[in-house]
Amino acid sequence: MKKKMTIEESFAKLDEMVRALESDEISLEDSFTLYEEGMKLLRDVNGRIDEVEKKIRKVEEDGTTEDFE
Amino acid sequence: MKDIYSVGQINRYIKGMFSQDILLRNVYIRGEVSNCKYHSSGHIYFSLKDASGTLSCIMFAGNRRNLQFPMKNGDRVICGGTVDVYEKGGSYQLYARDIRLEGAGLLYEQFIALRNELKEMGMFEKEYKKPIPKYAMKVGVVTAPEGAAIRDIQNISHRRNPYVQLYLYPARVQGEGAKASIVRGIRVLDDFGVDVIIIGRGGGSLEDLWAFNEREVAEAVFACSTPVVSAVGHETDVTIADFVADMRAPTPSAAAELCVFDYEKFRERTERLEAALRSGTERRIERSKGRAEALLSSFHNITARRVIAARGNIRFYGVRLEALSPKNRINDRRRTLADAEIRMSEILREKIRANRERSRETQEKMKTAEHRLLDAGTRRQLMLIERFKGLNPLDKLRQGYSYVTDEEGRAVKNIKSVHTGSAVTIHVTDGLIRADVRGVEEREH
Repeated sequence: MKKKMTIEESFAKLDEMVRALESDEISLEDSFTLYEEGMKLLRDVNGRIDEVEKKIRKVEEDGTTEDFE
Repeated sequence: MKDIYSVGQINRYIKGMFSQDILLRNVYIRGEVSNCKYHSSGHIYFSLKDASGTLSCIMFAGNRRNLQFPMKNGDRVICGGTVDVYEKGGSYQLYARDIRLEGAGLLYEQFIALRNELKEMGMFEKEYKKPIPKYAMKVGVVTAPEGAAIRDIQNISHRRNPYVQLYLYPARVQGEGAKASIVRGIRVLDDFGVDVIIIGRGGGSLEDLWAFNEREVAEAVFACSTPVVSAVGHETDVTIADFVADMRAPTPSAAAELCVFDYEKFRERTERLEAALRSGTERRIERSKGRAEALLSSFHNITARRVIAARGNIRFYGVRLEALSPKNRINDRRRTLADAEIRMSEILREKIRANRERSRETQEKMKTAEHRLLDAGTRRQLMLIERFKGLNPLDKLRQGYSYVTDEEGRAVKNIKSVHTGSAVTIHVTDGLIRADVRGVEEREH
C-alpha cells in the first residue's frame, strides 16, 4: 500500500483512526481492525527513528560518507 | 495683489511636495561624514558632504541598530533613508535608516542590485517555497567543518533529537572559492538525498558573509529540489540566500531548531495516540459488551418466556402422552380385568341366586313332600351355599360397603393414595360411581 507515508501523514491518519474509533458508527470488528492498523502504523512511525545516537557524517564530493571528527 | 501665505503654509506645502516624491522616500546617498554628534537622546546628528555640497542628516535612536560601526567625522559612508522637510527650520534633511561604510558600500549596492533583480525574476516568491518537513530524519548541512555553525547545529540537534542523522558537506564559507564550494555542497547533498538542507555560517563582517550574497549560490538554492533553510550570521544579517531559501533562520542554532524535530514531543504524541487508540477500542468493547449484555438479558427474558410456554405445552402433551403410556394401558387392562372380575362375581351371584331359587324350590318340594327327608346331597348343597355367602365380597357391597379405586384402578387404602382433586371410582353393588376427592383428612387417633 502507501508505504511511503511521511510521519506527519501517519500522524494525521492516526488522528483520523482515533476519531473513527471514538465515533458510534463503527462496528466492533472494524474497530479491532482499526486498532490493529493503528498500532501497526504507530510501531512503524516509531520505527522510523531507529534509536541509535547518530554522529555527524561527512558527505564527500562523490556522495560517500565518513564519520566527522 | 496675489494671495499672501504664511511661512508655515509654505513649509507645509513644500513638505507635501517632498513626501509625494518616490525617489526621496527611499534613497541611498554616498558622502563623507562631518559635524557628527551623538545626542544623549540616542539620536545622531551629522552631515554628509562631498565636493559639491553638504546635506543635513539625522538618525533616530530607533534606527541605531542599522549602524554597526562607530561612525565618526571623515568616514565615507552610504546612508539609506528618506529626505524630508523639517518645517520648523525650513530646511530639508536626510532621515537615515541605515548607514554603512563606503568600503562595504560597494558590496551593499551590489547586494541591493542583485536582490532587486532576483526579486523581479520572482525567485523570492512564496509559491516557490517548499515546506520544511516536520519530521526530517536526514538533515544536510553545508557549512565550514571547523566553524561555530556546525557546533551550534550539532548541539541543538543532539539536545532535541540525537536520532536524526546530520550530514555535513564541509564547505568553504568565506574567501576564495567559497561560493563554488557552497554551490557544490548544495548539489551534492541534494543528490545524496536528505530531507532538508541547512546552509549557513556563524557571524562575521559583510565581506565574510558575502558568499551567501552571490548569484550562483542563490541560483543553486533556487534549483535545489530539497528544501533549504538559510542560516547566515546573526539575526541582523540578511543575505540574498535568505530571500531565496525556502525558509530563513536567524542563526544556525535556530535552523537546527527548525529542522530537527523534538524527540520528546514526538514520543509524547505517539504515546498519546497509542493511549487514544487503546481507549477508543476499549470504549468500543465496553459499549459492545453493554449491548451484548442487554441483548443477552432480553434473550434470557424471551427464552424464559418460551421455556415457561414450552413447559405448559410439555405438561399438556405429557398428560396426553400419559394417557397413551404403556402404564396407562396396563391400567386399562387392569380395569378391564377388574370389570371382568366384577362381572364374574355377578355371574357367580346369579348362579348363587339360581341355586338359592332351586334350593327354595327344593324346600318347597320338601315341604310338599312332608315327610321326605332332605337327602344328603341337598343338605350338602345348602351348606356350600351358606359358605359361599360368607366368602363373597360382593355380599359386603350388598350390605352397604363399597370399595374405592384411584385413577389407575388401584384400591384406595389410605389417605396417601389420593389428594384433593383426584378422580376416584367408587364400586358399589350395582355399578360404579365416578367421583372427585373434595378433601383429605387424617383421622385423629
